[in-house]
Amino acid sequence: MKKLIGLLLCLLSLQVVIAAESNPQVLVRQTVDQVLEQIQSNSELYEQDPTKLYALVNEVVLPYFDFDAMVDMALGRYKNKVNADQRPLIINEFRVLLVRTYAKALLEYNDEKIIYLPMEGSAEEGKVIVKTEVEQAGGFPLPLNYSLRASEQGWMIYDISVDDISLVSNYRSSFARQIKKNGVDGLIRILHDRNQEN
Amino acid sequence: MYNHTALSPVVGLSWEWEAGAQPARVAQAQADLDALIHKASFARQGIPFQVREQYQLVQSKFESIAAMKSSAKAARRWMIAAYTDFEAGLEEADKILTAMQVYVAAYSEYLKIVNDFNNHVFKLKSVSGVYE
Repeated sequence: MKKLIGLLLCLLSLQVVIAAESNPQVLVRQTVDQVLEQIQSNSELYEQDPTKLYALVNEVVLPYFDFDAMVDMALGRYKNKVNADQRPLIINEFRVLLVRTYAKALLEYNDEKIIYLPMEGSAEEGKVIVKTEVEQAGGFPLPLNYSLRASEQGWMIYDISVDDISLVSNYRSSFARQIKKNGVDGLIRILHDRNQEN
Repeated sequence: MYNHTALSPVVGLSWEWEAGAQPARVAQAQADLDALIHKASFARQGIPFQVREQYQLVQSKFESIAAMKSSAKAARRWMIAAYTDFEAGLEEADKILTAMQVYVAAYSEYLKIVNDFNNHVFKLKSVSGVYE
């Protein structure tokens, strides 16, 4: 029995090492390319029926998001005010919100060039920022950075910054305002109502 | 009879005025002289006044480009933050419109200054003899 547990632990640690060794930039690039390829070949379909695009984002992109960490960071000091019943609800609404926001941004994609800049941090440290720039036809290039950390499931995204605005930090101040005003239930209700509109 | 007591303050005041005006006149004359010396110095260096003027305009437009670029980028960040909150139902649509208007105005101003800069670079090249 001890041998079996030992073997399982070895396999588990090996899996962590493999996950940490895979290149996070390649992971982001492959995922982004896969989604954009789908969008370009089915753009009309997705414009007519965005739910199909939401399904694509859900299936291809979201497995790489660490929603627990994102929600914790977005709640900030109000994290401990969220009870066990509210937590799954807020994670679910946050997930839907992210799918909608990401999918809408993807629909706007018009073959703009994406440049992959040198990564910040290293795989050995277990935390990296994959930096990209999306060229804009009538404006400055848009910095789009993905913060990832190594976990047992491999590299997971815990924040995205658009034009140097951290999504999680931005939500932290807005969520705090809302919780102060209407409580955690009020925040969940607002997110839910907005998610239902689209 | 000459009234010293009554006249003194007036003379004194008059003298004070003169005392204040004199250094200003000297400073003005000094500035005119310095300008002439500089102009002569440019001339001796073979830099015509028009070249110096255009060079300074190019420099000032170049500095304005950096300032306007930073302003337009800040406006875009505000717009993105407002949009993110709107998508979450945490912000009203009018806030996005305001942010968008500010961004468009800032970016237009940036483009205008880039255009001015390019015009002055052309003029500088023209007065310095790059374009005959």
